[in-house]
Amino acid sequence: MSLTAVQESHAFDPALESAPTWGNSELVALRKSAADLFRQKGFPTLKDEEWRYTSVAPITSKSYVLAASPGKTEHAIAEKRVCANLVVIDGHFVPELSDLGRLPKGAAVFPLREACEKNWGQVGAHLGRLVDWSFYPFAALNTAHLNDGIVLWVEEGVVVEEPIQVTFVATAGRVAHPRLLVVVEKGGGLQLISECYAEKDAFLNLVEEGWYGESSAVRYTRLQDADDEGSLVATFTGKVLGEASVETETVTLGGGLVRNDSGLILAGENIHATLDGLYLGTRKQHIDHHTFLDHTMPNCNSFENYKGILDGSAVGVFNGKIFVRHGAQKTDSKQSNRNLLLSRDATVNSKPQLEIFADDVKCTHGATIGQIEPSQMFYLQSRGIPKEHARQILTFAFANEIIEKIPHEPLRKRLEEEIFARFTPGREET
Amino acid sequence: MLTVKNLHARVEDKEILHGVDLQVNAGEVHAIMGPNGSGKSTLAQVLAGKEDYEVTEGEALLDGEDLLDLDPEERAAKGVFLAFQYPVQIPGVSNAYFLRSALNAIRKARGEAEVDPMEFMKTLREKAAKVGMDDAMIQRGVNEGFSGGEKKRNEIFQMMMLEPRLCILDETDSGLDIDALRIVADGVNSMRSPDRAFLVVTHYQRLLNYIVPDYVHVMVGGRIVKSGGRELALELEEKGYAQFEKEGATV
Repeated sequence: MSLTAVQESHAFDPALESAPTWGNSELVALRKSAADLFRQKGFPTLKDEEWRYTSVAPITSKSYVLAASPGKTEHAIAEKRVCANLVVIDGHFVPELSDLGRLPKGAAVFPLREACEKNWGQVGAHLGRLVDWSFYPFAALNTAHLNDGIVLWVEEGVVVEEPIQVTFVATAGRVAHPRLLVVVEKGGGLQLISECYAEKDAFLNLVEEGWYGESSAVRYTRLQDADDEGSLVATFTGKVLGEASVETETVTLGGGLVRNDSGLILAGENIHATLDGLYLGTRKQHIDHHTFLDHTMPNCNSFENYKGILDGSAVGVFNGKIFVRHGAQKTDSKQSNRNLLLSRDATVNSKPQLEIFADDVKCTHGATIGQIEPSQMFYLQSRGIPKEHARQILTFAFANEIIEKIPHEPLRKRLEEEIFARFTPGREET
Repeated sequence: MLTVKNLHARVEDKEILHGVDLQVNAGEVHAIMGPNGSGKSTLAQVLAGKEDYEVTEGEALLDGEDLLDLDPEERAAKGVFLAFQYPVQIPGVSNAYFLRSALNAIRKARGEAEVDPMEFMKTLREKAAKVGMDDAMIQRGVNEGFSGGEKKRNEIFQMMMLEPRLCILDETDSGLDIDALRIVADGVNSMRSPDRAFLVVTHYQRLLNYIVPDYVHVMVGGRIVKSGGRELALELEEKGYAQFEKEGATV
């Protein structure tokens, strides 16, 4: 099918007219400017450099319901809960499924709508001001529908000792545009786990903004998954101030179409940032990660390690931008994207993109695409481990380099089991 | 235990083993010495079942049973063990998990029950201590970030855990300082027994001061050109391989 044909047969009406209208004039204006921009630019096409390898046809060829209340989900929320959890379904915060009463000390949590209505002064100063939605069309679409989600606020000097989980689901046949707004003030500490899931024929379009203050310490693990007939687009931008430490990993377990745009703006000195990821694709899944690390100030380090394992005729895309601005001297940045292809038909498009405008920096990058190392196979087999089991162990080991970094043990164990089981020899793909 | 007859093997189009004959009985330690490129490491890897090599002629029998038709894991289950010259790193798989999987796979192939996890950890710690490996090293990825000497010690540790009947050591002494060499040799010597055999492949006779062989074979140009007792190793130390290389060149 040609691209034009796809575009002409749009089934997805972005329904900008049916977007919410509540809120003060600033919020209404925010939605309107995003809607105007989206109307003008529309959905991205393969001609758009940022979307060269990813067709949005799986999203636009379907029609969805923009629901006024949360639907019933197939996603096993209770089983996948690893700590105090906040749940947003079909774009609506669901207090009945959330552990509002069991949140760890220190964090202030609000449903987004309530926060906008009660405390626009603080929320409005941060909401929609970090993710550049003129650059991310789906973020513009989300902002045009801005309605609900979660605001997580950690006040100055407060360290939240226990992790907090947030879960976003779009149920079958629905579209959702939830938001996550995280503010960690100076010296604050937060461990955050987010999980996104798009069910069959659903489209989950999440936007996340993270404001990380001076000397803050943030540990963030993000999980993404979708049905083979579901689509997930997540756009995340974090802004980090001086002396802060932000460590993140994004684990994508699969999905018909998953596109993740994640970036950190390093806006102070002596920042330590990690942006790690693991993506697993099988069958005809399409998993696309675009990332950026923007070094605007001197003396910061950033480490990025994305790994992909692709089976079936799955497609993986990785694009990693590293900007080192004028004056961001002594930047130390390391990027790596390694991919393991388990089948002949799986493909990966990997593109590192370094733009360096300072002269006293250390920046390295590397990308590999390969199969399981025969010398490792022989080593395991020579110790008595049968070939198929050796393959499973080595495939898991490849993934485990990212998984083992996850600090929260219940989550790490859950993922270890899920991922190890996935590579069990002879396991029927369903 | 091991009978090798007229073994020819090649990698791609290049024949490396030109007819090796070797008889190793239970309880014996055999050393195979030879210059670089003589084929001694190839012999070790062919016996362990490395796919890169194609056996074109001859046979290798373990207790009368054809080894060459078996996959590497089947050979391991029958008690063959190769201590690698260049052990590979496997980040993401801990030494402990790796060894438990290996041990259980071997036991399963032999129709035995899986090891008790607690019992296993106890044995693991005891044996690791013998080669100077601590808990942190056991829990680290297989050979991940290990020095050359640590990797070789880990090979001997694995051998001690899996308790094979035929232990093939491929240049285990290369890159070892004297202390590590002694640890490795002690590990090997502690395993010597009437129903176990060792095939020690080495370039230097130094190792044989610590692991005293019953037989020494000189390999040159892809075949064994001379066999003798341990005094042959001392002779090689003195005179080098030159005298044999002429012979090897003519074959």
